Amino acid sequence: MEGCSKTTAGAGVAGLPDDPVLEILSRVPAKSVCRFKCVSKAWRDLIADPNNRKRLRHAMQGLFVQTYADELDDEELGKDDLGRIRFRFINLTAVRSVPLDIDPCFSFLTEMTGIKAFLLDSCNGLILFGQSQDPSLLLLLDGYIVCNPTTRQWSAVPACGSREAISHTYLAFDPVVSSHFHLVQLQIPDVQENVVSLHVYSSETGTWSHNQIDKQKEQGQLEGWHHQFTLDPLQHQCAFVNGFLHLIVWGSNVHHILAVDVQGKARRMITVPGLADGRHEHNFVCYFGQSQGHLHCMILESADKKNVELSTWVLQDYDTQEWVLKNTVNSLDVFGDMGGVLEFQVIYIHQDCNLVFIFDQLNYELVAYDMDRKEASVIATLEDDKTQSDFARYIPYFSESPALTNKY
Amino acid sequence: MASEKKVVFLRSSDGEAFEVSEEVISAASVTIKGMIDEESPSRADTAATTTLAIPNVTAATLSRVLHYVNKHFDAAAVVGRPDDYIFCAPGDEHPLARFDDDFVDVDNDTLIDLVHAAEYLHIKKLFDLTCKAVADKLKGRTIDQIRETFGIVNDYTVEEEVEVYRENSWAF
Repeated sequence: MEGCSKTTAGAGVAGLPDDPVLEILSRVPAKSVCRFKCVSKAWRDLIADPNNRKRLRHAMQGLFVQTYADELDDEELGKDDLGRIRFRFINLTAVRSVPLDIDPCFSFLTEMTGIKAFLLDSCNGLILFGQSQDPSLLLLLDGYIVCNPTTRQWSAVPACGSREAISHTYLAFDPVVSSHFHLVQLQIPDVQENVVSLHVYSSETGTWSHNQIDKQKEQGQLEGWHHQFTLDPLQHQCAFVNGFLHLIVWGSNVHHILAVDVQGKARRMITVPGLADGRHEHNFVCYFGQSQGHLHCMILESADKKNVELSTWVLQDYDTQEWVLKNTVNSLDVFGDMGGVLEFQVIYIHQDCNLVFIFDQLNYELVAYDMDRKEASVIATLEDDKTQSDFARYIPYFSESPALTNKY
Repeated sequence: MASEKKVVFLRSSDGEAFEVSEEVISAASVTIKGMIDEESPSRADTAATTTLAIPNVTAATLSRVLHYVNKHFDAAAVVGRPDDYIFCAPGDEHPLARFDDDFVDVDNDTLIDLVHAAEYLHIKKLFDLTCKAVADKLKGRTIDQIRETFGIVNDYTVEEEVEVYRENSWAF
């Protein structure tokens, strides 16, 4: 038996070398991994080693759903939008596994502080909320909350000092790169007008930057980019890949992907795939995000409203901007013939596999579509929440972060 | 080529030889497939059966591994879907789920030996299964129970232990 186990630094965890131990720990849920730092120095060093963070990063375990409590008459709409917000949680882990220890309603945030907040974005374990004192002014935010639902830590971020009428705010966070997060904000003076300012908030400095568009002279392809693009009010999705935040902008009647770094400098403009063949007036980007380390873009082609084609493209080579068509599926294959106008929303593509989560707005069902096996299955029904829903991924991130200063 | 199925022998660290179908073990183990491919030119024109030394795995563990491999990789077996956490609804289990549950229902030392063997032989499905089984044993255990289960010596001083508990108090 002797000589059978290669021993490496930090070994001795259950008599196993590091590699299997990391495999084992990556399958241990919730807080346990952090708790296990108390077992011995070898365990602590292995778990705390920054090189292992990527291995111990956990897969998406569920979805937070934000709904509005009930339907109101038109005249009542807008009076107390924030007061009507409800949160729930859909657990996506195995039936046999232990229940997740999470607070589905963010009560550690809302009840303890009285803060009224609503979902804006999520990124690698952190969730971005908007908050407003005046509930009828959802568009004019007083500020933001960034929270980690796993550790129940949170931090308030003030609103940006200079404000145009419409802004989109995106969260950029990757614990492998830094324990600090950034917010990137694009502003336009009115619908369909060009982007006039771009601000960045850093949790390290605790401040918003000045308008980064004025400061920077972009070269070549990016020269004067903001004169050509506006924001799509229906498309807030973004993806943080390769250290750049990628977001969707609208220009010349077509979507484009803008990559900005966390200093707020525009780095590249990426063409959206599948729209260039001249018959794209019915096609649009219905999902944009990251999976398996690559950008993914899903294009909806809806020549006929009962029968749409969903194409999934992956940016296989980031540098050459080579998009590869990964999957095409007809709505009939996912939903069957529903006999009516299809209404669905692509929510997420799983970060580790070719699994797409789609919300069927007609039947209030959450459907998981497996691109490899071409199978769809209903994983949850939102029966009692028959209103508009917003979703945020729950990816546990177990480290306490210096960037999040409050804790319940 | 030859119509009858080829077999290879695997010799454990303690000298016991086990017979297994070449096709099955090649499909299962990346490591052994590599060994067979390396051997093949020299044995193309001989009828002799190959014996491969597996110096890192004992007979007790190797026989368990081969039991698993024959169940999971024999072409006659295995229909249905791979284990996928979202699609594995109750009553809709993978046909081998029961076998897998029983397979890893063993004492800790045996399980750890299986993790070792699966890693060395590069049998991904078995590695995943056994890692998950160890993870299940870790879930919900107290720190003391984990030390006891895996024979780990607490090498923290009293002060260090207080500090590390304090740092991670939120996780308890």
